[in-house]
Parts: sequence; C-alpha cells; structure tokens
Amino acid sequence: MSHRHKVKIEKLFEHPVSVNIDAKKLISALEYYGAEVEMTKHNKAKIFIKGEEFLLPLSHGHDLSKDSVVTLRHFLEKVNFVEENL
Amino acid sequence: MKFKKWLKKRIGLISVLSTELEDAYDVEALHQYRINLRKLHSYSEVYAKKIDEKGSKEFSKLIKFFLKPTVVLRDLDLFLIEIDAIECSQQTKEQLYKDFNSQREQAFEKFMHILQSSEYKQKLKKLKLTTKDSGFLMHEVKNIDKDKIIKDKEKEIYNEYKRVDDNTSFEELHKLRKEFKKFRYGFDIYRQCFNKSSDYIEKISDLKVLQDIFGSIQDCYVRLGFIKGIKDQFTKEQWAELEIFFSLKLQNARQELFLHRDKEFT
Repeated sequence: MSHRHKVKIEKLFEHPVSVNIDAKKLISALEYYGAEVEMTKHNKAKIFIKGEEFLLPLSHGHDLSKDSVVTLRHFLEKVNFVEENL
Repeated sequence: MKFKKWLKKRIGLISVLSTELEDAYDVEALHQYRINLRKLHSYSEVYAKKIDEKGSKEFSKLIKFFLKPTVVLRDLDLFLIEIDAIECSQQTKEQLYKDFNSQREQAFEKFMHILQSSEYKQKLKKLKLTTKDSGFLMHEVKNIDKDKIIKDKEKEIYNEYKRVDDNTSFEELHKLRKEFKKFRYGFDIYRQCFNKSSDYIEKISDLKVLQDIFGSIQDCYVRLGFIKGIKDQFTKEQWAELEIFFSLKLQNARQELFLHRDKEFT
C-alpha cells in the first residue's frame, strides 16, 4: 500500500511534467503521508501540510492539469514534503 | 552509469515505447518516448557535435524525424486536460472540447499512420544500427573534454539568458527555451555518466524551475495559436474571455521569467 502511494507522489516530482496523474489517487497518497484534505463546493481540494494551505483545482476528468501539477509540486517543495522525506 | 549503458537504454526504451504506442496509445508512453528522444538529441547536440559535426547533424535529423509527428498530438493532449481550468463560460468550454477533440483525433490518426509506416520502421532500425556501428556515438566520447564542453555550454546559455528583456520576442524566448532544454539533458548525462558528484543538485533544481517557466510561456503561446485558429467559431464575448485569459497568463509567465532572471544575475 505505502509503495503505491509513494509512486503517486514520486510521479508528481518527475520532470518534465507528466500529465497522467489521477487527482483522487494523488489526494489519497497525500493523506496517507499526513496531509489534511478538504473538498470545496467549487471542485477544489484544500490541502493542509505543516500549517500551510494549498488550493488544488480539480478537473472534471481524472487527470490533473500541467499547471496544477507544477504549482502543487512547488508547494510541496516549499513545505519540504518531498520524496526523500516520505 | 556507464555512457554505453545509458545510450543503449535510451534506444531500447524508444523501441519498446514505439511498440507500446502502436498497440495501445497512452499519454504517459508518448511523454516517456519524447523524453528519451530529447535526451538522445541533446547528447548529439552537446557532446557528439564536438566529435563529428556531420555525423551528429545526421543523427539529430534522425531524432527529429521521430519527434516531429508527436508535437501537435502532445500539445493537444495537454490542452484538452487544461480546458476545464480555463476561466470562461461552460458554453465556451464545450465549444473548445468539441473542436479540439476533433483536431486531436486527426493528429492521433496522423501519428499512428506514421508509426505504422515502412519509413518509420526503417528509421527505427537505422537508429538501432547507428548506435551499434558508429564510433563517434558510442566509443569516441571518452576522448572529448566533457567538463569543458558542459561549462562552455552553461556560460553561453546564461549569457543569452542575461540579455532577455521586455523586447525579447516569443520566437527568441522559444529558441532560448530549446537551448536550455538541450543543456539540461546534457547536464543530466554529465551527472549520470561523466561526473557523478552530488554538487550539482541545486543547479538541476534551478534548471527545472526555469524550464517550468519557459514551459508556461510556450503553453500559453501555443494555446493562443490554437484558439486563434478557430476564432470564427466563437461569439465576440466568448472570444474576448478566451483572449483575456491566455494573454494575462502569458503576461504573468513572462513576468515570472524576468523575476527569475533578476534573481539569477543580481
């Protein structure tokens, strides 16, 4: 289980950006590693890590957009929620 | 990793991924296929050029043959995922989906047609043989000064970057983006095969940030081009909301680039 979640987070840090990242699976992986997630009415996910908040827009499809992947990656780097620390 | 192993791995992956794409197309497989091709292209342009200019030119041309048909398909795949995030009315989004799904279908068919062609199969065979037979690609790399090559490339590219300002056209930025891409992969090869020091982690991280910014500019520009191509499908109001959205995004991405440049050189 933990390996599957880790792979999802690692995918987020791949560069150049992959767009084959399923939003729901990624959110489950973030929660597994301690992030708190709240869904809003406007199809966005509020992600809380180490007292910091990030608003992730979700598309109606399964995959995250390239913009969302890049901004989320930058947020995770800022709060030091990176592959090496999982 | 030894360079010989690195090179064989790239060729092997390209071959496997092309079969995968032909059997069952997948966005991720196309992405990996393109990355491996770009890495080979960067090796040719950064290192092999210093060994055999004519040979590397031919090799780069061969790689471009494989890359070219993937460009529009990848752009459209990405654009279709992004449509939902565009700040515009639902009606405009539906129009965009309708038009670009049909364009994507055409691009996909064109790509599959090329992938199944005898010319493609022949060139794939040539790619495998080139790596097997050609001394300049496989063996002579040990005779060149890789440290000097990568440092010279870094100096050259950052000098160009320093000159970027408000008057720099999109075409010039795009050219610089491509050079940075070559440098980044060239630097990856250097770290993986020629100098395994961990001193370069910060440099790679900065190059990734810069590539993301250049990528945003390129994406906005390409998307503006896409929607301009179907301008007559929209009402005046629909067109205005799309143009404002992408123009603002483009402006923000350029601003981000200038901030990064200022940080880099002050």
